[in-house]
Amino acid sequence: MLEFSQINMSEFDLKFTLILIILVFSICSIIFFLATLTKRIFKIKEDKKKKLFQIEIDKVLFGIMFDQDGGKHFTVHGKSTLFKKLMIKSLIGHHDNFSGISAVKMEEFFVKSGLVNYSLSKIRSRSWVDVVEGMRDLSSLNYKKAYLEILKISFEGNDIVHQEKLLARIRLNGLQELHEFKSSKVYFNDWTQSNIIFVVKKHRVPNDDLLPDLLYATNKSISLLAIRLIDYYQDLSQMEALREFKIITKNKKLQAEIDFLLKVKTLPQV
Amino acid sequence: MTGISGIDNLIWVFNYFILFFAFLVMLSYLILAYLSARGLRQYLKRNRFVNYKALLALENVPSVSLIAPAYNEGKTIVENVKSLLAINYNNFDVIVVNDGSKDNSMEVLIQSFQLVRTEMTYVPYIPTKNVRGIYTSANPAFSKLYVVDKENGGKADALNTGMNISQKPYLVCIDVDCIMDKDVLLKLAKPYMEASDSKVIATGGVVRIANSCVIKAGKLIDVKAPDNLIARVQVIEYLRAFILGRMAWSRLDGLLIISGAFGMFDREIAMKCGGYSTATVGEDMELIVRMRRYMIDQGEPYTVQYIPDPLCWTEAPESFKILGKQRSRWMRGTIETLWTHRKMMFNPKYKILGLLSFPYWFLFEYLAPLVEITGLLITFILIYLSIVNWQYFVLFIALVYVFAVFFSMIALYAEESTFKRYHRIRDLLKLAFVALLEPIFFHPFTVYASLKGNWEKLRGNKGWGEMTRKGFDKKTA
Repeated sequence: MLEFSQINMSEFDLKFTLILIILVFSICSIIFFLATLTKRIFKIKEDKKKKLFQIEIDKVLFGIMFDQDGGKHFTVHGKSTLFKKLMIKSLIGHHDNFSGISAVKMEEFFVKSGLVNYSLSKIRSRSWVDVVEGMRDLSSLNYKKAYLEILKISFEGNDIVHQEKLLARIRLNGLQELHEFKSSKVYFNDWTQSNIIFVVKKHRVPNDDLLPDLLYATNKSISLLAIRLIDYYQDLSQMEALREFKIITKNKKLQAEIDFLLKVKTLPQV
Repeated sequence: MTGISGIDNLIWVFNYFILFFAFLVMLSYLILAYLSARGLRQYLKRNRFVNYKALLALENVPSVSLIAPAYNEGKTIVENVKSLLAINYNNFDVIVVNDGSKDNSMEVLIQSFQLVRTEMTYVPYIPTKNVRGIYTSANPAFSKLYVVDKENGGKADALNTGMNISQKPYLVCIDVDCIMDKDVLLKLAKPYMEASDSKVIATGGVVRIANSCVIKAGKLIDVKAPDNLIARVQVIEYLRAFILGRMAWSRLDGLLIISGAFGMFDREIAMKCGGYSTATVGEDMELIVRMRRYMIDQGEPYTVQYIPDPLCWTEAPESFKILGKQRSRWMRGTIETLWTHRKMMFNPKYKILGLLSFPYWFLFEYLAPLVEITGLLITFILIYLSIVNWQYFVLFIALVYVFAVFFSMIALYAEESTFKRYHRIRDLLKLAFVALLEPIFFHPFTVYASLKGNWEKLRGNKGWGEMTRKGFDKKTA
């Protein structure tokens, strides 16, 4: 009868295999450790670079805002990608914080400096990440010429691209962009709706007279969005339409939403 | 070998069993790490465009009650409650449950928040210990705050009391002494707003170690590697568990635990399941398993979501004495949950939970320390009998050690590639250094604590054990 203890792998093979595995794990440990340190060193250097870039960017944007020479002939030609990204971020920040002539100056600078070409190249990229970034930059800085190009963007099955595309369209062309979804089967969940309302608030998107039409959409998520938008704008005639809709609709969720919003608005202020 | 065929065969079988077990553990870790890496990559790619502030634009966001049980937290409770009230969210209240504290917690709360006793009737939908009173603030600035004073009944009982009082559809159960990210509710609530086909029954996130971090006014200002060696090892341990472990289980839809330090639950489902079990010390794991089991039994599509962002920072034990109590309790909790829901084991009805998660927890969380200690005992016997092949012995020890270090390095790298919370090179070096020491001084202790947990379970110990904390304010004052 064969005994278990006689079934032995060649001793040399086993030892060699063990030593090899130990070496592989040891080397991999060192590699991961060094990679961690390298990443951190790179990040520290990048942060330093960012600080320097930010000083330069602030100077340029300050010049633009207050009509000083600094920014007039500035171009991003030859500047690094990091610089361009930072500058667009700062531009959007300023654009969001100011209105009127200051915001227009930011929009003009976006085009004149050549940053617009960087953003346009992004929306033509094959990477959906770049496309989303590009759409966000162009629409946040109100570059209306990009509208048609954004309209053509299609990343099948990528919900992030689709959501950002809709937000960009609303930024550039207002709430009328919602009408095409009245009878569509696209479901606008609460997360998407909160993003739309956020964009409307932040970019001061003007009210749409036809908003009450959306209440009667066959797509009930659009009706819900319309209720929330009407509540945000607080237009008297639209609020009246909202009350009428509450009586007509049989949808409990929509009724509850109207009740909630009207109740919140009529609560006594402490 | 001994030359006695029976004993030799036994030794042979044992050797290969241990070898097979060890390789299985290593392989499972590597597979989980791979799945986590993929999951994290995807999460970060998608999440870079998420603007959580957008949630604040919606008035009708999921309505949430934050339930914070407190026991003898008098020294830090005011600061902690203020920090909870300052969380960014539109629609929430904070329910602090004073679980029969023996210190001055209630007096401090009443005075600091101008609390007055209300006439609210307490309805114990889930049976709990007696509630002495429910308080709200006379100051409108604290209108979101409810304080419940009750008889001591333990953490689970306090959480159940909060559940009974809450009027909101979602609950966030937290440890009052944890430091929360100010966007914690926005991040926890997002999955509930995205759900369409499956009901989200729970969301949970990553807990990190806050020892030696700079904390001011209940906010985390600067992240540092702990000075204390025991706490520092736990940073590595938590990185491995949360970044490389739970992320993978979440991707497999096999998550069995949402940390007791903080998690968000669907109140209706949690109540239908009977709330937290007071019969176990692992109430966090047990509730999640029970909720999942309930949903499967009901045939309702559901999901449990995991958010890999570090949202909650807690104080880790800095002494072996406290650590031992904690780990022993964790082991007892694991045993109790696995035993209570043993019908799920290898049961295809429970899909990935029954076929993978449960067996994994049984083998690698419950059984592994027992296998390790058995291996050690038998090694001693073999040494005594002078039949140890020392070359192999050293090689295998080296292999296990190197693998442990390797896995910790992956965890450190994963942290640096994702959330990058340790900004200084010095901190990374400190963490890497402790990864070299962990298998020598820390792991053996956790094995011992697990054994102690088994022993205490056998003896019928149901207590939590005293968990003394230094408190953040002392260190940062």
